[in-house]
Amino acid sequence: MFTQDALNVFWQTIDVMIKGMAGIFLFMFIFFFIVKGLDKIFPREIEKE
Amino acid sequence: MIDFSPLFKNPKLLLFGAAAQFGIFFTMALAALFGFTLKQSASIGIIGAADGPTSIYVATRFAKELLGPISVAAYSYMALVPIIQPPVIKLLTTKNERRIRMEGVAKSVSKTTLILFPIIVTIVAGLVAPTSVALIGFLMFGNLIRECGVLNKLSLAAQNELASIVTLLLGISIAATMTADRFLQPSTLIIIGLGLVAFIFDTAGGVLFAKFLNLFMKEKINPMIGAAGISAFPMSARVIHNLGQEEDQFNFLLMHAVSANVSGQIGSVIAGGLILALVS
Repeated sequence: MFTQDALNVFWQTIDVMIKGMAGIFLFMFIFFFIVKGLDKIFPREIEKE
Repeated sequence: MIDFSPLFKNPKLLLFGAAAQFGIFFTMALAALFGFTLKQSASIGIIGAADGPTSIYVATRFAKELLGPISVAAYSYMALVPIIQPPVIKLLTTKNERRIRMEGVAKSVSKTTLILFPIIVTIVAGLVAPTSVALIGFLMFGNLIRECGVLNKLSLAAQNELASIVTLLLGISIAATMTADRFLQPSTLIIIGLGLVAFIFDTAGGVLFAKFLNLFMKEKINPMIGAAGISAFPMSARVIHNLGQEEDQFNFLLMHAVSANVSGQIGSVIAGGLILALVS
């Protein structure tokens, strides 16, 4: 643990973490707008309570 | 064979499917400190996707030698969600936060929307991150044959017999790789420990993100919903609903938790695809 090699890999994983989390949020935002867009084009009906 | 309609009723909960993947990356970094290589660390981190097939797919691409322990950890912790999540949630939320009620959304989704969504998502995922298509494509294909309405026999077979057969064959094939000299190693214990860390930080990521969103939102979200952003479906949603009812028996969180849980299923395959793209 905490050898130089391990620390090098650790910094690489931090880079993957930043890009990965940003990527997932980006995808989810895109999907959010797809859902919203589809909802506008093909509106859903309001159910009777 | 996911049903995406709960997600369409409350699309903002999609964000929890992203936040609750934090455990994957945290565990990946932690695994690196234990001396695993980058590809091994990525395979260990993906246990936090709480999704067996995704964990297996990434492990076979990056660290075949760790496939056994990773599969054992992934499937074990998915079954242990009712034990892992409640203490983490209780630690990070107050009684009043757990009592927050959320209004139900009583709307139905048009059939066209349900059919177009998996097709569009696959195309978008393919354009943005081509390596994720193998994972997200199959997820969306399963949803499409369910929603299209003309493949009922195939859909039922895929949901029942085929799913059981594939799971059995997968289990037997992976078990065959777990020979004593490869499985009875100290690294197996480390991987199983790191798997637990992944699930804990997934839960924490979702809950803390919900608390963060509540700082800006007029209509507060019950922060426990964030924890349902992991892929363990429908176990996690049930856990959140039961925790809500423990605090207030008239608090019905199930539909919101299911929405977050479905988004977690999408988030986990996206995370798998992104890890494949970023690490290779």
